[in-house]
Amino acid sequence: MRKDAVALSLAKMRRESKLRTVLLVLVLCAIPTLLVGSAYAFELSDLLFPLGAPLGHVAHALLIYLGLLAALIIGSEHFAARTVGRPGEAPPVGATVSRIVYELSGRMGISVETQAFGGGEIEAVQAYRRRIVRIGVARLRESIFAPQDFRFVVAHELTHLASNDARTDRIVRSAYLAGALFLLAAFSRVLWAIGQGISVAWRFGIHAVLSSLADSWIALFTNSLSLGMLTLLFMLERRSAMRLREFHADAVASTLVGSASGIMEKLRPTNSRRFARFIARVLGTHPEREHRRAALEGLAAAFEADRILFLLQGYFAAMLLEILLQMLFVGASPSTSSLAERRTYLAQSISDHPVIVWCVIGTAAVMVGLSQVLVLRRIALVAAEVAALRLGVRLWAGSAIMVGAGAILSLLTSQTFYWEMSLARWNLLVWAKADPDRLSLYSIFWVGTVFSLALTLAGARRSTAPRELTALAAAVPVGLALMVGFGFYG
Amino acid sequence: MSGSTARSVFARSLLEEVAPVEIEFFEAYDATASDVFSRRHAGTGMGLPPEVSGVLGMVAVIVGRTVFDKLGEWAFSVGGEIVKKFLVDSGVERLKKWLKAPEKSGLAGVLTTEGYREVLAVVERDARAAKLKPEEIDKLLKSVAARLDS
Repeated sequence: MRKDAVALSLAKMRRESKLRTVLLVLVLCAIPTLLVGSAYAFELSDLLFPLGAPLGHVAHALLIYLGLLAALIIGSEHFAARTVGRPGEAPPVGATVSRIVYELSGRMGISVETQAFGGGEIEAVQAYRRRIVRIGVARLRESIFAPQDFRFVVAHELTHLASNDARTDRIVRSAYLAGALFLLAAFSRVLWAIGQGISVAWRFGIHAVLSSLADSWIALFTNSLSLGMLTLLFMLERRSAMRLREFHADAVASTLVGSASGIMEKLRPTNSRRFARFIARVLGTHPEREHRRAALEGLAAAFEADRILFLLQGYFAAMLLEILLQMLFVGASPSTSSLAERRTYLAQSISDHPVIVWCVIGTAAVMVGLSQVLVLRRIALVAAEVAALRLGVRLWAGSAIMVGAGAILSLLTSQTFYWEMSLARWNLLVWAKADPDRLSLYSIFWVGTVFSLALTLAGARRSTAPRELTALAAAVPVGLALMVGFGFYG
Repeated sequence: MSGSTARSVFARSLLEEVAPVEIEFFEAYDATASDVFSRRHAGTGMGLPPEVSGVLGMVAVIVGRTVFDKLGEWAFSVGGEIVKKFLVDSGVERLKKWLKAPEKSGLAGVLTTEGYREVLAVVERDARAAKLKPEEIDKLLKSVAARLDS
């Protein structure tokens, strides 16, 4: 029974981890690529292949990103392989440790190597096809003096190996690094353009320089804000995913070897200061002790700690929607065209480049749908744990608010929004009147998400074919947004 | 027997006596101690790395290596001052023989009282720096003293 529970848990986590990784890598590919593609459109247009307009620069940016990502992943694997050395090079860990690792890894269905090393930790490393548990020499004796605690820690690390956490983290970390470099390149372009403006204005005196800066403030402010926000959210997401994996590893280890009370006592206690607790909660790679204890009692506590996912989902979905609108109406922005003109512009684009336009819309819809599926699956998992209706309603409301907050955050960090608001003299009603399509699309997407959350929760509580239901529920906000889009531009 | 092997034999004998339960981890401890010695100033230098503090078996191996190296320095020191202070007149050749095969000969009568005290002072200093408990420090000192007297 225990083995089945462990296998099921590992399989669920692997699926969720895979989905999250795919989504993250897609987002990390798409957003920085689009930003660099548009920032360096002239340089990238025919860089390698004569792809031409309208997406040649984006395609080249994507190729560069993928090349950079591959190089970082390969480099990272190589570095890990160098750290662990060749098989058999490391000193043996002794019969007791070998027996424990062999037994536990067998129960998880994986084959691992064991190494001793000079550190004070026990860690899981993946290097190419090898799975290695590294045990600090200072910890070896625990296998004799505190066997239950030792078994728990080893089972915890083996869970990371069985779930491919180390490799997943390597891929995501490489994608983040490549994305960060691209964001830096895009921001450098903005700074370069502002710098050029200042250098020209310099010849005409300080007033001209100040005037140039005044004209650039929106670009500088919004780019700083949006790139900074993106970086922050990516960092928070990664930290959150790492903490979630720790919860999962604790749960599997507890199922496999039993009580974790001894080892939990040895962890660093939860900080008494509220601010320090908050920082640990959002930035720490490992959850705090009290949280880990609570998560062992109930899965809901673990996922409760991962609410950042809903904020991120709202942010990413809104950002993708915004990028889509900017790409579709590159020559007809709301500040310079009426709704009727935008309608005509889109019809012309579809007529000239039907494949590209529909591919762009389709890709955005798929990516948003994927992010919805991830979030809804998470909701379904938590809902299955939550027995009381009151708690279910709280979960639904909390998730909906976080998604909405994420979408608003995306809007508030959008250069287009600030530009339009400045033209509308910072009057929200004037802006809404000039840009009803944008406002309606954001709103209907959020309403659709709220509905899909409710649908998923209701289905999970009734155990009604959750997988098919989450896929259907994920399609609701995307479908509604497409319908409203057709309504405005069709 | 090579110097490094002889050093390991001596360190192992200390581990066997002070922490016999940990003997199966000797190779890991020995390999780490080699790394520690090559990368840090362990023992009488800048102290032991924090991650191995308090681990009696590990400290025994590191102390064993330190003592062996210290005796080796004395045996091959040029100049004579150290030899007169820490080793008895006829002790140098016996010490060199011991350094080649510590399990085959003993150190009784090799060291002067000053030399004996110096070795134990090194052991105590390193054991305290490694944050061993007082009873563990005593155990280690007794074990080293027994080897110096055998």
